[in-house]
Amino acid sequence: MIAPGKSIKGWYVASPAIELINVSLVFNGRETVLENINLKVETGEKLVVIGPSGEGKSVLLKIIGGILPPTSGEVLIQGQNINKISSTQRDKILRKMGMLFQKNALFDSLTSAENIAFPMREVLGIDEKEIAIKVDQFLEAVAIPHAKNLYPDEISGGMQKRLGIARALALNPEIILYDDPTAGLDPITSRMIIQLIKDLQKQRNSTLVAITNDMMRAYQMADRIAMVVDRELIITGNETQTKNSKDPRVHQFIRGQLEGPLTESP
Amino acid sequence: MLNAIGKGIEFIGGCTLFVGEIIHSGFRGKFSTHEIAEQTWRVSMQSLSTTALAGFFVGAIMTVQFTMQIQQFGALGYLGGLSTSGTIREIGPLLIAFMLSGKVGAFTSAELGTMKVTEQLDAIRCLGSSPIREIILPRYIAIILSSFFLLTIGLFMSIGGGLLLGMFFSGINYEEYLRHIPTIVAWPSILIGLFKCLVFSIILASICTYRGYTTTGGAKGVGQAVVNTAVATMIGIVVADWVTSYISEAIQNFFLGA
Repeated sequence: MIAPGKSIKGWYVASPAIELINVSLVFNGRETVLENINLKVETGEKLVVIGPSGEGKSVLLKIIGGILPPTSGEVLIQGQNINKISSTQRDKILRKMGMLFQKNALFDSLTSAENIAFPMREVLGIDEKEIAIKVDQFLEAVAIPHAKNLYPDEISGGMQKRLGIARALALNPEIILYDDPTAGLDPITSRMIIQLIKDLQKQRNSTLVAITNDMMRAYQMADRIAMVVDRELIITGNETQTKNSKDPRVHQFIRGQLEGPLTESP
Repeated sequence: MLNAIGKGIEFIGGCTLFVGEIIHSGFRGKFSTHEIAEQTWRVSMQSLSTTALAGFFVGAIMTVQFTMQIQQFGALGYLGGLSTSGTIREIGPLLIAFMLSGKVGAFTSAELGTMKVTEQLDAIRCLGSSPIREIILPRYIAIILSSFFLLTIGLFMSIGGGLLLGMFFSGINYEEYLRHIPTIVAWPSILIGLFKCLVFSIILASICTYRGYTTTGGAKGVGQAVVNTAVATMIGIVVADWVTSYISEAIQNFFLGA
């Protein structure tokens, strides 16, 4: 068997963009949030993670994004274990990833333009003129050029999401993580944001992992769907496979039924 | 009681490791000197008026206290020197530290705490940057630099306050008040004052950045972080004052044989 990332006789076997091996996370030494999670996301793939609130979807995304180290297991990004390399190497890998946070996590003391410029200034080391041009391009791409000099609290929720997406894309990441990109938005704005995410993903052929509880948006975005429930990750497959899933928890969740294992008292 | 001691030890350990991480981050990559200058300016301006006002009244209080004690010995000529020496060695650094603790310490821990609970610090990490290097380090250095600037302002204002009270309360003229300042305020007093200022500002910067950086739990958590910062810095500064006074005295006695 040829190991991913190794070259044999001119053939190169690419590592998956993201790979989780037996990942577990225990909070405060007693509260198990995730247990033995195994996941592979190939380059250019779009994976959407669904699941009931409080089951650990955002935690899973933060583990992939290098914000939370797992209690045990391995997190491989493009074949490299991000928790077992030097911090300099780790920073280099993290720069290949962009993340949109559930509540956007925009820098509230900076204007929209400065929010996008921040990672470029800190990481890319390019001159201010070039940064200004790139910032304008990103603001155009997410359709909020008029918000350039406004602060995050001066723009609407939908515009904040767009700004968050622009900042996540500022370093041209190969992997993009979206934590509930349509949370709190009206259906029309939600649809526009999803379309924007799809367009940007197509343009850049980036790998996408998104969290959402809106099944319609999940089907619109996903090549594959996975569900976090009872500390485990269930890969349910594409839209059709998910809809036909035999797992009663998946069945109940995607149909939003009140009766079923997810709402039964323990 | 045992629980409180355990928490105290845990806090000191965590804070020490955090300071180690700050120092390490400074050596690991380039940090923004512009951000340090901006933060130093902000911290200094935030506390300038209160420090100046407090400095003025401390000088005045010291003068009143010394007047009552030395008047009976007919040594009023030494009033300026004694009052200024006491301010430089003891009250000045302590006052600056308390002022900064109330204004800058609380502000910094609230600012960092809010950034933590709104995931802004996580966002910096996610962008392949270090929140400690980008956000914490400039604030840490700024608090230390501002302390020295504010100490200087506070001391000059205390001399002014002392001088004014000396003239109107004690009835000595300004020449007499100022004459013995250079003879009584010796270099050891100035060095001890600067040493204390450095130690207090390090304690303040360490506690407020650590408390802010480890905030959890939303708005309530931020409020708790500010309260904890105020309590911990006050205790830390008072304890450090005792320790530094003891060390300074021992060093001075060793070198000067006094």
